[in-house]
Amino acid sequence: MNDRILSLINNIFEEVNERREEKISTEDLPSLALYGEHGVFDSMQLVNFLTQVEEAVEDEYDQEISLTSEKAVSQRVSPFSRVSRLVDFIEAELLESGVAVSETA
Amino acid sequence: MRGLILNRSTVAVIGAGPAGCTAALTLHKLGHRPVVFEREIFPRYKVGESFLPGTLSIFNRLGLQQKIDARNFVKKPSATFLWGRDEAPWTFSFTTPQSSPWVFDHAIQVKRDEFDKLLLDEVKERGIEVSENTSVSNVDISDPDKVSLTAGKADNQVEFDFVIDAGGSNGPLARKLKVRHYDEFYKSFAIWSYFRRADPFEGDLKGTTYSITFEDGWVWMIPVADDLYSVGLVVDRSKSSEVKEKGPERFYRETLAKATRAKEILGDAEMTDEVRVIHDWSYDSEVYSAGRYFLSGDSACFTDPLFSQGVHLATQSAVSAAAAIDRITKRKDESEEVHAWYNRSYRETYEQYHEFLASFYTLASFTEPESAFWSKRRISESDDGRLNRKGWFERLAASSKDGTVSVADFRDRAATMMSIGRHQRTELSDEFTDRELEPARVRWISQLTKRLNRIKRLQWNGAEVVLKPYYKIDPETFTLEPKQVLANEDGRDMIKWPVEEEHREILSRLLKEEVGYKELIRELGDAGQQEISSQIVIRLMEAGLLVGFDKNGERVLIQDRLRFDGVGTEYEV
Repeated sequence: MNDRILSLINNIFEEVNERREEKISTEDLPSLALYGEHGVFDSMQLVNFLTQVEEAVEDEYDQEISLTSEKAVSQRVSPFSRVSRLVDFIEAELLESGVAVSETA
Repeated sequence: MRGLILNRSTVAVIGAGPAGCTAALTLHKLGHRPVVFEREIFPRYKVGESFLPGTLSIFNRLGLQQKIDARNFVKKPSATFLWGRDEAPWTFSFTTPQSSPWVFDHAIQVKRDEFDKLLLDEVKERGIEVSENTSVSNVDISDPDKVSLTAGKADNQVEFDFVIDAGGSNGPLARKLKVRHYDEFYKSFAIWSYFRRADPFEGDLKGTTYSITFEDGWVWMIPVADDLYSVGLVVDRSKSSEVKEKGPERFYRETLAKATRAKEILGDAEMTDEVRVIHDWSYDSEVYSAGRYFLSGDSACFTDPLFSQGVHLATQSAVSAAAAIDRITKRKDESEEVHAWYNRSYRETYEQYHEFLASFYTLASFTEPESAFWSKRRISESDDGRLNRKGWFERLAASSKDGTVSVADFRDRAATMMSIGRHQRTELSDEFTDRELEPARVRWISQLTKRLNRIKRLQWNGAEVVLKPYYKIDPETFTLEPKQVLANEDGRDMIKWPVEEEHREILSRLLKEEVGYKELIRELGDAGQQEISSQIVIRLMEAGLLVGFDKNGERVLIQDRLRFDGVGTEYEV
């Protein structure tokens, strides 16, 4: 689990929670389901979230990645099923682009 | 009878169905004095047995949850469609994250005699005056300061500050006003009965409502109790003569026999009740409220029940009418604006369902090319006179003229929705799980996100970005709160999400600078709209206020989504 990427996602959840009445629990962020059964987002909220994550990754690593590629949606286990899988997917995408992905923020 | 206490109104509520009881409970919660007039004695028979999650949400916030839970009504997790000949089943699941305590991921199905009595008993228990077995024979709204009702066998006259006609399709005020327009598109009638049949499925299909097309129309199958299905046929009005000739039961049995996929689910189930018919099918009103009156529920409008929206339209409009009366009582100078809001928001909700239905009908018509019922219910031209007065159709026709959207592609909206919920098997099966729908949903979300991300320049349609006064109902207090929505100088607006000056300023940048989708999302997010910034942009595009272009200057089209109130996380009330 890449903590630096996890931290980016944590920041987005903190922003989302600022306006939420029912806060999304980030106590065990890696296990948090994003979408589907027990997921915290509905379809349109996930659209919003994906764009925010792409932006945050680009700001942090100066590298554009796509969370909406065929590769992302055709994964046997969806990267959106839980945060840890999304972090792993982003890390793999960055590595493939030749970005040095350090573990710490 | 009229209110003598400051900020407290007396309100005559005609009808004790879901609209009437919801209006009475909301008015009572807001500190007013409703009096309910009901011509029948409850319990009484009523059709309209399948609800939406948003309806449960309203009852929850009116404090009825415990009583509803105690009755163990049939839980409805979804609606399942066998829609179009040879199409695989598809399921519209109500699964949704619980972003608020009043967001529901399921609805219920009920025997309306039981459920409506539960509501009316609650009204009585809260000390609200109810006159059952009391017909309202006249409603006089000619005096601008009061309304006068003539009610009961003795034709007693009683004065009130306001009146809500929730008296169903025969609502006395709705009839008197002569503001009803019958729908030329849905010239149908329904004929139905009940079958003793346990739910055939145990998995994620258990409790689902079925809608099944066949050559002469479509069938609803609603599990209203553990071992009882309501089974109704929606057929063309031209078949009325056959009902007269053969009698309702013979017509019903013979027509149901043609619906083979419905018969497969029913098996050899026994019919347990009489056959009933309803003709008053689809209509709306020119005016929903003015002065001191409000039309709510079936007295105001009704449309084909394919998406089980009837009771939701009733309860949502009832809360809205009560909130409007509360606002006008406290701020008499806002009466005109409040009525404008009630009319607009009610029409918007009604039209969403109407558009949704039209798309599904159009799609099915292509799978039943030989059928008279279905060929009459296809939209393929922008000058379809049957849809005059429908705002959604005017927008579609205008898009067709400017070449952005083709009317002939209208069916694609339903097709997209069906593809998201399509089962992996061609037959209904206990193997179906809600989870099997996830890959298609994720793919759709990804495609939409990708399309939005392609937008490098957003263009505002107009010379100015203005804030327009509007209202929204507070979801907890049910009070009507003044808000502002985005609009252009011609009055074109987007009413779903209220905004503030900060957001207007962000959008105003589009008039001077090149701003892409991602940049706009970030700015709206920084201005406190993190979770809905994409939705704001999409809604602005659907409202015709924003147009997106890619890096080559090509227009990026975002297909209008089919949506309706009462599902998901963002209820209108």
